Amino acid sequence: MKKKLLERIVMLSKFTLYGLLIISVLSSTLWAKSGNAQNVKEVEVALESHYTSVEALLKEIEAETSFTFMYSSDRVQMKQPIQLRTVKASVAAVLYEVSEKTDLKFKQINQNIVVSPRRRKAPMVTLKTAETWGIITGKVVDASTNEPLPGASVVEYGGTNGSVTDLLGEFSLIVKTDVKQIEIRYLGFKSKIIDVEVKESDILVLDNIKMEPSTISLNEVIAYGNLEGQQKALNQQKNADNIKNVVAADQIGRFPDPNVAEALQRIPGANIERDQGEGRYVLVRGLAPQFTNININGEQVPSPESGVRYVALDAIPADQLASIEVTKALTPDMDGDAIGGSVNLITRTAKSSKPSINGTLIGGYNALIQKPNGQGSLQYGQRFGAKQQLGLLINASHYYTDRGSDNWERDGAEFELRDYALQRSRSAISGTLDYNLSANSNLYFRGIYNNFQDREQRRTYLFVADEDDSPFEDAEIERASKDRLEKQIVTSFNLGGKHTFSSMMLDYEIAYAEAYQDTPFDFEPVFKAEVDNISLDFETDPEFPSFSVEGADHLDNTIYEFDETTFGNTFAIDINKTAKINIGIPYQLSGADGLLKFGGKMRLKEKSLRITENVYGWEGGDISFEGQEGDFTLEKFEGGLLDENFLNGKYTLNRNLDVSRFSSFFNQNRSGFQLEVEDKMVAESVESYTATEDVYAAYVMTRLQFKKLMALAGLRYETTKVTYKSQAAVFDIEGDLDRIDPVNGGVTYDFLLPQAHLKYQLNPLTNIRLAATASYSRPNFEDIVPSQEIELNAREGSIGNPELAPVGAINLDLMVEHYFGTVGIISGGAFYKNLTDFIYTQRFDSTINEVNVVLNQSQNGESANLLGLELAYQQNFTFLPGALKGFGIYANYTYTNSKATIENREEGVGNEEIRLPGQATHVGNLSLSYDYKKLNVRASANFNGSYIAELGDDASEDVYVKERMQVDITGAYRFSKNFQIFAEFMNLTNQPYEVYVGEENQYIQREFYACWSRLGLKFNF
Amino acid sequence: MKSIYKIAYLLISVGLLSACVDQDFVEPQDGDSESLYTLALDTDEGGTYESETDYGLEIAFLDYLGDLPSESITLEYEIKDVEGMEIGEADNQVHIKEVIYEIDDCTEGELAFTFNAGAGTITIEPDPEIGMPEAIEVVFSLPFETVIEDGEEEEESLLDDDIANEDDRGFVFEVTGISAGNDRVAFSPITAFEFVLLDDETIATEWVLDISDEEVFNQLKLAFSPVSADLADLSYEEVDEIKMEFEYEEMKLVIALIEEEEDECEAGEFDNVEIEIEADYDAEDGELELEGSYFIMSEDDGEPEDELDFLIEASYEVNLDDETLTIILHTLEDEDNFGEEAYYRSDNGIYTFTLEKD
Repeated sequence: MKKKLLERIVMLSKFTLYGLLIISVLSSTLWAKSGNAQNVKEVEVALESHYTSVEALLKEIEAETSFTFMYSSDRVQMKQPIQLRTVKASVAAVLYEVSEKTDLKFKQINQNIVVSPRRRKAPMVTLKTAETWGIITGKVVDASTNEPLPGASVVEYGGTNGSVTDLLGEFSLIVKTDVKQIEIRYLGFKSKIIDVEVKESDILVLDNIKMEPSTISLNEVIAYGNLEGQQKALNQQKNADNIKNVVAADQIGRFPDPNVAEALQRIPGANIERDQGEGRYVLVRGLAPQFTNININGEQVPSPESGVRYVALDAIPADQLASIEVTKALTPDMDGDAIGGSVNLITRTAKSSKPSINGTLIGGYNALIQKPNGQGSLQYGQRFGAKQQLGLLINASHYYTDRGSDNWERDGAEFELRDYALQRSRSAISGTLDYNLSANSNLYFRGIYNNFQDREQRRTYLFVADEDDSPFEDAEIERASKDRLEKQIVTSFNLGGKHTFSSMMLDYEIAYAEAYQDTPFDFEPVFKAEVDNISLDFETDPEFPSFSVEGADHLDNTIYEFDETTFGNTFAIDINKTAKINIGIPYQLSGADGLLKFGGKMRLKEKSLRITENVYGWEGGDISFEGQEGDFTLEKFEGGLLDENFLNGKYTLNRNLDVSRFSSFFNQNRSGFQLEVEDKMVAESVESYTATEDVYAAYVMTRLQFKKLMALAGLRYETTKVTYKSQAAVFDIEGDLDRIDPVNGGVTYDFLLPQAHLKYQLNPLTNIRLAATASYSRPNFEDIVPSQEIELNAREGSIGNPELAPVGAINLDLMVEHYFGTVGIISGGAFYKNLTDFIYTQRFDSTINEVNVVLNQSQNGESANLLGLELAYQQNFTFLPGALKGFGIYANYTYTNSKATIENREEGVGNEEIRLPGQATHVGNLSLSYDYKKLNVRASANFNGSYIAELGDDASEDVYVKERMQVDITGAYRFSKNFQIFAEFMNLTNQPYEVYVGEENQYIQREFYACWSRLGLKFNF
Repeated sequence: MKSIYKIAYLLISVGLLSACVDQDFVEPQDGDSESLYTLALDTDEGGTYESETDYGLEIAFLDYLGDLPSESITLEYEIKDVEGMEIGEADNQVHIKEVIYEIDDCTEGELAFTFNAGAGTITIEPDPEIGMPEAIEVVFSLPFETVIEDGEEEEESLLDDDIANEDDRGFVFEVTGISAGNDRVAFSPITAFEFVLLDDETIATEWVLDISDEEVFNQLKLAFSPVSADLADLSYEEVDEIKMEFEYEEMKLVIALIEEEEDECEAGEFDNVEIEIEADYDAEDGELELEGSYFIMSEDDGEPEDELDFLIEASYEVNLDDETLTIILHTLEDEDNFGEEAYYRSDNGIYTFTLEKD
């Protein structure tokens, strides 16, 4: 314990020391410009006209002012006499004259003036502070709406030095004082050239730069804001240094995507895993969800789920966000643990002094469950103060839906009908408070709170046939009724600042993020009936297998006797505490504009899972309940919903039990229920754990702009220290629990990640990008926590692997993109990823207590390769005549192919090649739209190719999720400036979620959700 | 117009915000801190041979969390519905003889009880050594008489007759109440235990197989070794005696070896080493079914590898005149070997054994 504490203190001390060093270096530079020190230009001195030495002159100035000259006698020549032109002038003017007449140069740092020799030959690298530079700052807005334009390109006219506006449309550009004009470019708008006059070390604050649409026809289209989202997204994408996709809020709103996962599926190279028809996890570029990290406002979101790192994105309402960025090639200033990509969810910020109130009201209907749903959101934003220094934005939203699904599943000779009814709500509130200290300094506080609740009631019929007609097996029908409430709360707070000085840029942030999943109840009573036999036919109609029951009527609830009930609850929590600092220093290299950037980050994670699992059998004989007496059978507890059109009438169900009524019976007859104590002890000790993960990172990178070529390269170092605490259950040779031992583990690993990007601008609308990056992906907690469950009698067990190494990756990306002036893009690219230490589950022989056992453990495998092609085409046909100009297309397609090498599963020796789990060969979107004047209609199709969901014992047992294409239609009509009505019809073709084993017609699951619709009102004031 | 929008918005907003996930649910009272200590009768047992003079009924705590309470527990009981015997404190009547519990494998403790005309109380107190006993045994005294024979005093059952009894003989023991200093102590809803005296003019008694002929032993070995690795390894010379004991719904094939081992509890006392094959049985109208399980041993380490259920179908006949039992084994199959792949199967029977009443 003491040793760990000591290690932590040493590590913290080390990084604290680094931090202090950085801060002290910063301070000396910062305060030189912005502290309380007097400026050499403002202090006047009266001097003699002649001095016997420069040293004497400087001493005279020291005597008359509070300045102190600092120099090294070895390095500077101060003995020469000097004649001054003026005897009464500012200190600055005197020093200018001295510097003209000698080889000396002067630099003010607080009250000190540093004297150093001036080099006759120009250095290769010159800090901009040594030149005559100034800063231009301003805000680029849409002339018609006054809305900020993020991603606008701001460059020296005729030059390459430039900047890009941020999400508030603001920019800061450090330029030489001889620059007279700057040019602002924004897709869909006319470029604008502005005259400027920049003074040395001064800040030129421009009035709002108002951009006009580039064509009249486009103006018609965007007048009602229909294309604003695309414009913003594409401009940010175009001007980014690395390969990324950006989706702005407006664009999210144009697809019927209520949550973040569903909004992400429209992005090239992204597909999603669904739960109950709604998107939940995102897979980027054909890699499983754990290969993509999820951030809110630039900081990783902890996962509310217990065993994994990835975040269920259905917990976050899409309407909380200003934009979503998917970065596909990392830069050194980003977290390195993302192989597939890094998703950043950016919340909103107040934009102008005019109060902005936006909202939506949506009502809908789910055809399967035949119930309405609703959604509402309200956002208020405003900037306050004479210079709009203070910004406040609050956004609240609430979504509620009743959903359902009809599902059948197969497991060998077992066939199950599952009828789901769900209630889901997503409530969120987010806010941003920001304050502009000056035109170049901003402090902010951002917070977001998401509350996702999911009540699931599942009623099942499980038919277990006695396939072999074994006298030791019974043909059974099992009836289970699950009732579960799950709450996922994700909260994140960021406090930070951004400052631009004449010599450097600085940003820093501390963040706290917490995610927990609370399942207060998860109950499932099970009843069983033994029947003479059950015949199952999966061949005649593989899409809807048939069954027949001999010796009983499966719809008769009196034949089902109580078997067991499970009452459980879990609580998983994941907390991230983060601090980071980034410093940028502009410089010039052989005429090219450069930026040197470096920084550090610390993230402390705590994750834990607590579980309660009580399984009860009945030892009480006949029962008496609510006037009914006799056998402990199902009909006495009947209740809840009855789906009379299950799977479109293919199967007939009877009402299952009401879990609350069953609970009442339990409470009245507790002495008859026997708790499975051993199972409880094993489940609760083996599955629960606590873990910490401390990550420390530092990076240095540089960006250089050589005319049309941008080069960015750097190195990131990340060290991770992980500790785990769990327990191991060991069973004796007769299968009884022998003991439960505490198991602690830990590991430390380091990564050095070189990253390089090239961007060549063929013309202002066409870029070629190339990137070579190194990244990695941490293993899931469920794989690394050293819990164990070893059943000696069964000769098998599963153990965690705390030594599991993260997956490393080298990524190569090539992308060519051409943007259309009228808002659009055509792009194509290829990517290649080489993964090392690929993680998979391995079975191996071991000996425990002198007994040979087969253990399952996640292991690092050989290598894996993934090759992909990505195409995207997005255009509005504004060049067409008349009303035809409203047509538009949004399409993208991604092809991936992967090969991973693992130990041969069938033979047990040698290797075999597999597809990476989660990798879909084909993923794409096609959306046709019509945006004209007040009308907006869109038909969208989203295609996810098949992918391996789970590896089997051999290739023929691999479990695949079948390809799926969902078709949605949305329409909107703006009937006034402030109001818009819209309608959405989703999953029109009732596409099921289908899973198969080995071959496509070997279905093991088909789940249907029907179609659902929403009708709503959007308003903004 | 604007005010209409505002009112409409307000109404819809209120409606929307009130649409939340229903969290109503009847919570089961199953927290660890409220879990019960439930005492239950051992209803797997139900009777004994008519030659026995007592019978022990186990009352035990079901699986529980944590430690058993230290407060004393009082059970109220009643013995009723007597058939073929009487209730009373005399030797020839049914009564509670003692209430005992196990301190360790060789030591028993005794608990206080009252008995008055078939009703009374049993007080369960913590033992100074082991605390609250996990289980107690209520020992009933069955009607007997004391006889002196060969200079020794012996108890002989008054119910041990030589006729096939048509009427049931037995009684019901019912726990009618429970009180404890700890309110988490409860009694199972099954409060009554029905004792049935087995009639040894049926299959329900102990039978001895005459193995003076080695071939008889070899046949038995062939018949049962698929479900007993120990028997499969046995040679004729090692065996002393073979018995089949048909107890209440349970059969034991006991093979006593010549080899002896010292009694765990009594130093200097030696007993024969025994190999047992156990199975639940159902005997009716001359048909006998034996269901049990056995361990598959690992060839690598000799330890159990798997446990498989087995089923034996047989026919039987009890001859009251010469007090013999004839069993004909027709089928032996287990979970991995059944149907056509059974170890053996014949409608006419494969193995026949004749046993004598012990």
